[in-house]
Amino acid sequence: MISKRNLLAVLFCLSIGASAQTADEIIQKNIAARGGLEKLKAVTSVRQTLAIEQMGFKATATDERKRPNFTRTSFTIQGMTAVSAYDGASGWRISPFQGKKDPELIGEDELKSLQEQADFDGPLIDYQSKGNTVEYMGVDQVDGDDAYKLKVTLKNGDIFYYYFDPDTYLEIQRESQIFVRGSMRESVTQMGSYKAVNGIMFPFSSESWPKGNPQTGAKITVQKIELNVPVDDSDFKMPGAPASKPK
Amino acid sequence: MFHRHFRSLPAVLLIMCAASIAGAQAQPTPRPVKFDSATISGLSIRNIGSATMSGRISAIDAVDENGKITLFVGSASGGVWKSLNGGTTFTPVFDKQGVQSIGALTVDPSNHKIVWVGTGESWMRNSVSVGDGIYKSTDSGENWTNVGLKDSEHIARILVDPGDSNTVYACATGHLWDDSEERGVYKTSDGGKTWRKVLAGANASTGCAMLSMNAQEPKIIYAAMWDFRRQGWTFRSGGPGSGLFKSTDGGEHWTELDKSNAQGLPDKPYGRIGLAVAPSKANVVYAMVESKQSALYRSNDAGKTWSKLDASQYVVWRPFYFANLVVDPKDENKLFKTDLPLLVSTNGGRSFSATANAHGDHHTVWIDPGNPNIVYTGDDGGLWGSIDGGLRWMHLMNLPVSQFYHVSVDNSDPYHVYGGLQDNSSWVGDSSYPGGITNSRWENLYGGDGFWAFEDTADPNYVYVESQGGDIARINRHTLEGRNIKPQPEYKEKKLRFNWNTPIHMSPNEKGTIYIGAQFLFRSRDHGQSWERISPDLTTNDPEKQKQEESGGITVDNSAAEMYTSIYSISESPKNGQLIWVGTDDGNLQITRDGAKHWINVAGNIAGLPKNSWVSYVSAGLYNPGTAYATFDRHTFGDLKPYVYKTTDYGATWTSLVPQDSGIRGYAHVIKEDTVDPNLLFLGTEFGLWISIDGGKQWAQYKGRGFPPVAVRDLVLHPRTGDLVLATHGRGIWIIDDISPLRALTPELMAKDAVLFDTTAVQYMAAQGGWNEGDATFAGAERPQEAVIRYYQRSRHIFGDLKIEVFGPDGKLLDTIAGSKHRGLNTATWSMRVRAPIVPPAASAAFGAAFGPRVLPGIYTIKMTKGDQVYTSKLKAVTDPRATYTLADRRAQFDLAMKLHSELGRMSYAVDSIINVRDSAASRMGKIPEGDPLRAALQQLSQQADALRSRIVATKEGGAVTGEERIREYMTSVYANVIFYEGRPTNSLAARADALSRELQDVIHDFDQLTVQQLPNINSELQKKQLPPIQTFTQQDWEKKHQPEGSAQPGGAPAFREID
Repeated sequence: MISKRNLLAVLFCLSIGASAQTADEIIQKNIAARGGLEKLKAVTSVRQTLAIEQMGFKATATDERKRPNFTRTSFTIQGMTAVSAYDGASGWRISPFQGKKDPELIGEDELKSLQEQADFDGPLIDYQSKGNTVEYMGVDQVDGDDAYKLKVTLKNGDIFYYYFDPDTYLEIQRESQIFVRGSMRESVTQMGSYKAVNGIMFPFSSESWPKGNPQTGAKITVQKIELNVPVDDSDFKMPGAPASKPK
Repeated sequence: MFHRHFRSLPAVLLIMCAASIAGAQAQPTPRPVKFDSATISGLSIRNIGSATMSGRISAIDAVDENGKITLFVGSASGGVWKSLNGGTTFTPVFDKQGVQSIGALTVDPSNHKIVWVGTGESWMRNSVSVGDGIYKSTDSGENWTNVGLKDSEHIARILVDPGDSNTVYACATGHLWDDSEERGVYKTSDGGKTWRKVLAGANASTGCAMLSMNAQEPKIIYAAMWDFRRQGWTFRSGGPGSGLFKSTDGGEHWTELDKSNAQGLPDKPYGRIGLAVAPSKANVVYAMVESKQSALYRSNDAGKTWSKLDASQYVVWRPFYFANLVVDPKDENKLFKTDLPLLVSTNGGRSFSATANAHGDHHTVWIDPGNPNIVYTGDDGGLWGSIDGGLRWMHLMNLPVSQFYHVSVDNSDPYHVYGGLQDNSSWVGDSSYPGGITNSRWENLYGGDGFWAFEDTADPNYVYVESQGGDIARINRHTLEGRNIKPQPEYKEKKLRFNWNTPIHMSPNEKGTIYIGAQFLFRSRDHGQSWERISPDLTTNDPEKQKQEESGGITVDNSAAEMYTSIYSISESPKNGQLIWVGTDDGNLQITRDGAKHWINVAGNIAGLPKNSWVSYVSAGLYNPGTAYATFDRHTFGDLKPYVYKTTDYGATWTSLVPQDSGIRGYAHVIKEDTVDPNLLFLGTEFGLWISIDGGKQWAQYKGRGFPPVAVRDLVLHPRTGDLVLATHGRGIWIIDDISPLRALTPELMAKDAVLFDTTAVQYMAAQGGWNEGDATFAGAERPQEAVIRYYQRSRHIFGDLKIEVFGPDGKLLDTIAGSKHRGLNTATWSMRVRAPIVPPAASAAFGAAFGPRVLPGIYTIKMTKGDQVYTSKLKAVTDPRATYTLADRRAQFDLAMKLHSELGRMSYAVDSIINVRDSAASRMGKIPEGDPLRAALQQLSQQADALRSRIVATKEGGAVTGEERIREYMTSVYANVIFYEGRPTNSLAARADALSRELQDVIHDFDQLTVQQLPNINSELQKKQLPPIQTFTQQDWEKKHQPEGSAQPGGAPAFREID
């Protein structure tokens, strides 16, 4: 005997499959494919250990994110660790490779990407309350293969194009358009090798390049993902007080 | 609607739904295997430009928002390019649409997010491409929708009502080569959803050539209607349909203006009319009227009366190509006329001056309304900017929209690419160059329009090139001295009929033997010193198609562009030098099998092919002498379909290679067999590249890395590298490096889950080239410098690892790399380097040691793990053939590199050991009261240790250029010098490496002495205070901690010695 509520659920699901796609339906299917909203929302922090290769250069990196909007990426070569981080207010970095190991504020041109990266759930989840808009662009192609295309315009005007695999609704490509002082930086990321971590699907492989210049792509292989690891808020804060704003 | 509904759903519903979807997605059902774009588009492609010559620009529009200029550039056959920075950088934004020819481009003046594009250039030269209607973007050109007029083929102008974004007028020029219905002035009042024809031509060959609007009263519109027709052999501009029209009610009603109602206009018939209303004073209207009295006419009363003004040569010639007037936004007396030079008048059109030094053949101008000193113009050579009102010009060398007709390659390493372009001469460029193929890596060889170009295989110091109408020359590659070697007519002979795009062909059997075709076939075996006329007239010799001196319509225009009844394609069989194929523009396909003694026209044997179809390419089979392929181009008869045929019996019978539902779009330009696999065919059409792996039964369009649907006019397989080199007419030269995976694709292979291919990788020498040229320039990528590993997957790899590992000849794991995940062909790249050495931390990074030495040439094993399946293949790494060093030299280099690699590891161990003692001593010191001798001893030990450390590594920090160097800095510098030159290291470097090793050993010895002398006592005292002893560790223990899994061990180096 199907309860009334279950029947409603079945009908709801069927309607997604049968009707023409909308942006919201695709987002819901993507969220579902990643493990569901509840699981995603239950995550409080993510630490990824990454192997990066770019044109013969290799490094390992750590990417840590924490709710609500903290992010910190570090990578180490020759025992020196570079850091870039955002604590919800200030973006800062340590670039130790030329002899100066003091933390410094990140320039506004680069800060925006970091702020967007700090959106813990990404721009799709709760997009309305974040002031983002989404638009389904129909079926497009990624290297000759079909994909559902979604245009996501952030509140700040930056644009992401998501491409979803039509079978699984997992993301396979993202194109980003970051506007910097009215001009634009464009990049492409392709992702795959999804694996479940605590029931949530993460891409364990990705490659990114500046649009139009794929030969310079950086490949990232995730070695480990840890969820809900204890990360102190202070890890995201700039050591020492950031320079005060000019009056 | 859905949002609100969705929000109210119970959470449990969502979770159930999510679970059911996730469950269904865990194992995506494999789709049936198909050969399509995805199968082949995982192969990478690179564009090598060039943007030096750039290509014809047909339309520009821009907006100036507080000094920030957003620029849209429409190219004749290379799509739409957008710049947010006034032209410093451009992005192609039209590549996903079906066509690349742009006729009109208009940004909505009241909403800059809305951009309109009319496809199909309207500068109606012989080589013009076609469009498929009108497109609208509502997000500033990022995404487009085709909103109609799909059969218009050419659109000259789009006007948007400045007060109403939904009211738009389209000036549809219509078909060039045949009658058509969808032409004239169209209007939409609903933003493009529906279109009404509001001004029809008087006949089926008349369309709209220009529209201009009164900016203050946008219901007042002027239209130029144009009666025109091109045929392969002639052109007509003008006829009863041509006329000047005016509407005062938004295009609903039109009045023709002629001398009967508009005093001062010339007698009809008219040809093409250029039109412009002065933006600042709308009663001033200019019209360049092609007629028996062609001139610039001006009305000061909105068209009621006209004055005849300038009629100088440039103003009146070639109206089909130059009928565009652009009036300054603030000064009604300043106007530009597009022409061979860009003309400017500052006296209201009484006279014109030529502006300075751009390429020439201008078609479009945009003047910044906020600052009329800023001007952009597009001509046959690309886009030009001026900040002095159009007196002087900067070439924007960042638009790779070059229009190649043909391409060839030589056997250099890297090979050169040769080709000729529309109005942009003949060039040679590098297929690869360290640091990238910048504009300067292309060299001009000749002049005029360029077409075929070949290295003289008998003497590579020379190149054969040509300009339009068969003006072939032999050019010295070094001095660039040229010698015209065109065959000349005989006594009292009418002129030889050389096509605009005259075929030149190099014999594949005899080095240096060259052919050129007029109506006769000519052959030279002495570099053009003499020519043998080896055929009779191979064309139809139809006198009706030889009246080019009458061509042009109202204005005679006989530039060789309409030369007809001429040979267009030549191919000598590589299997038999006596067998030559010749195709003509008027539909003859001739073969000789006896060295040109007898010729047979076999075109009539092709069932289903209409008579007189233009033979765009004939290609003798590479494997069987009886085999040939031919493409026929009927777009000059208004038929855009591809015609592609194959014979295996010397032309007696032919099979169509365009099956029903083949998906091939566009008239066909070229077909070629692969040089290895006879079933692998490459077909270039007006709308892209198609590939077949089964001899033409199925075709797939190549779309890798966003390769646009641009005309592929010619292509060549490089016989040595297996590279496919494409001549596009609108986007320059593109190279797919090493197409060997396509040779392996078969239905059987494609049915497998995955296949990993064997590969050969050249270890190209490290080299530096180029210099920073800023953002406003083009650079194409060089050939892959890493090993490219290729594999096939039946479906996209979504879930789980796709692990690719590389093993050395000794079976040890060397590296783990990442690869792409597409359905179809994929690539992964391997640097061929062992992992970088471990380098101790210091004041700054030693980037020279951030890379490992490259492994020795040899056979490596690739292992791909996908789910529970394991695939293996071989990777053969070979030395750069250009290398001058021996394998012994290379081994010496590798050995020294690995020795230094190992020494750096030892150094890191030593530094870590020293730091350990230093810090252990310091930390214990803090736990011991002042005055205790042990405290002093620990402090001294810590300081002594740190002093030892500072003998090894530079320690001065702070970001200044300290110049401090210690053993680490010296050794990493030696290491970098050794790894980036793979021949024998200099004696000096080898000796320096030894010396630094000894210096390192000295410090280690001193450190060992220190610990041996001091630690026993100190540890004994520590123990008494119940503090832990200071421990040292061995290098072995240290290495265990510092050797990441899956990376090459320095100790593994001797294994490489076995490799050849």
